[in-house]
Amino acid sequence: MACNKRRPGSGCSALGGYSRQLAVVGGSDACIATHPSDMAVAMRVLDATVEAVKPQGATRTIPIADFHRLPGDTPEIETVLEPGELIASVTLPKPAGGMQHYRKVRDRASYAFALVSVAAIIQPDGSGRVALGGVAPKPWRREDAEAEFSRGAKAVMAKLLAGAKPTEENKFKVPLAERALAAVLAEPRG
Amino acid sequence: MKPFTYERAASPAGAASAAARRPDARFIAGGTNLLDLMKLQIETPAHLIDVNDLGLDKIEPTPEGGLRIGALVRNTDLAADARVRRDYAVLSRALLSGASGQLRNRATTAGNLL
Ligand SMILES: Cc1cc2nc3c(=O)[nH]c(=O)nc-3n(C[C@H](O)[C@H](O)[C@H](O)COP(=O)(O)OP(=O)(O)OC[C@H]3O[C@@H](n4cnc5c(N)ncnc54)[C@H](O)[C@@H]3O)c2cc1C
Ligand SMILES: Cc1cc2nc3c(=O)[nH]c(=O)nc-3n(C[C@H](O)[C@H](O)[C@H](O)COP(=O)(O)OP(=O)(O)OC[C@H]3O[C@@H](n4cnc5c(N)ncnc54)[C@H](O)[C@@H]3O)c2cc1C
Repeated sequence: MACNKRRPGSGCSALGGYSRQLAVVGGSDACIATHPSDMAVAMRVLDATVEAVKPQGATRTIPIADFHRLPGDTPEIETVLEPGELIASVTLPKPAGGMQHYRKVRDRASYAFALVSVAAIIQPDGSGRVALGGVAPKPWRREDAEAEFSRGAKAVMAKLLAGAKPTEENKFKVPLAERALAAVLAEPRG
Repeated sequence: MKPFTYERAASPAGAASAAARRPDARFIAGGTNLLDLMKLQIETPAHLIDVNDLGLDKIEPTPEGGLRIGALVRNTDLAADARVRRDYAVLSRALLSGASGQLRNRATTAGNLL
């Protein structure tokens, strides 16, 4: 099977092939794989940092926003970790408060990866943060979209998914993400 | 699966330098992802560096009022931690929506980030 991530340069059988599960934003002509982790989407909305140890023993702190790379033309390089670098820990900043939601939409209710997932923290005044899973090669968050919370889910998603390039098979993810966020916003705030 | 050699690292820097010496090596934590990829020969490391004995399995408060989660903390333990459930409920919910109970018992924080 052609896969630029697993065998660089071999091509991509998902582009123009079976792509229901794959990315609608942030992908490239080389790769439209999604990042599959649910945990990482929550870590992104919580502004976690990743602590890594280098071979000589030096440590560094990487904000989660910078940890995963977009595929560009080197989809085989998925993170900014250097060869040999070990993850030692992940740190959460002090609690953000608010109502904290994780809404995962999938083809089967258990034991399945997300088609779309929404990690959101909604404050009593209606302001919020949101990151998406299942739509991009990394947990997908754009802080500028969060200024739109007062205008509702449609306005937030218009910014968050701006530039989306879905395939015929996965274009349903764009309205699905919007409705998943609308469902979260319909929940009580306190 | 292709044959491979195996070592258990004794310190984080030791694990990192062992990996830097051998570009054909991989860290192994819970193994829930890596072993599947090795069985399918999508990953064919010649050497595995086990990182389970590095003492990185604790969840500790930070001076800034946050939480530091060791790389080897299992998904199950992280999701069930009382501080995570109270103050970072989105994380607990995301973890419990993933995989299955058996997998979450093995899957680690670092492994699930990658
Ligand atoms: C059937 C199935 C269903 C799943 N469903 C979901 C799901 O719904 N949602 C979800 O989020 N996940 C899901 N997963 C993925 C699961 O969460 C991962 O397999 C798991 O988190 C990987 O962690 P691990 O410790 O087992 O990693 P390993 O398999 O040990 O390692 C994975 C990778 O991380 C590297 N690595 C490990 N530790 C470190 C470290 N400290 N520093 C640097 N690199 C490191 C390894 O070298 C390897 O490349 C599923 C997995 C399976 C098998
Ligand atoms: C990851 C995974 C792998 C699987 N692999 C296999 C496999 O290899 N082989 C296989 O055969 N199956 C497989 N299954 C399917 C599994 O066997 C079914 O999910 C299970 O049998 C459903 O039983 P349940 O009691 O959980 O049903 P529920 O999910 O509770 O219900 C299923 C449906 O039956 C209805 N229902 C339940 N009880 C009654 C009743 N008494 N009267 C009338 N309607 C009722 C419900 O309303 C619902 O529509 C797999 C499922 C998963 C999630």
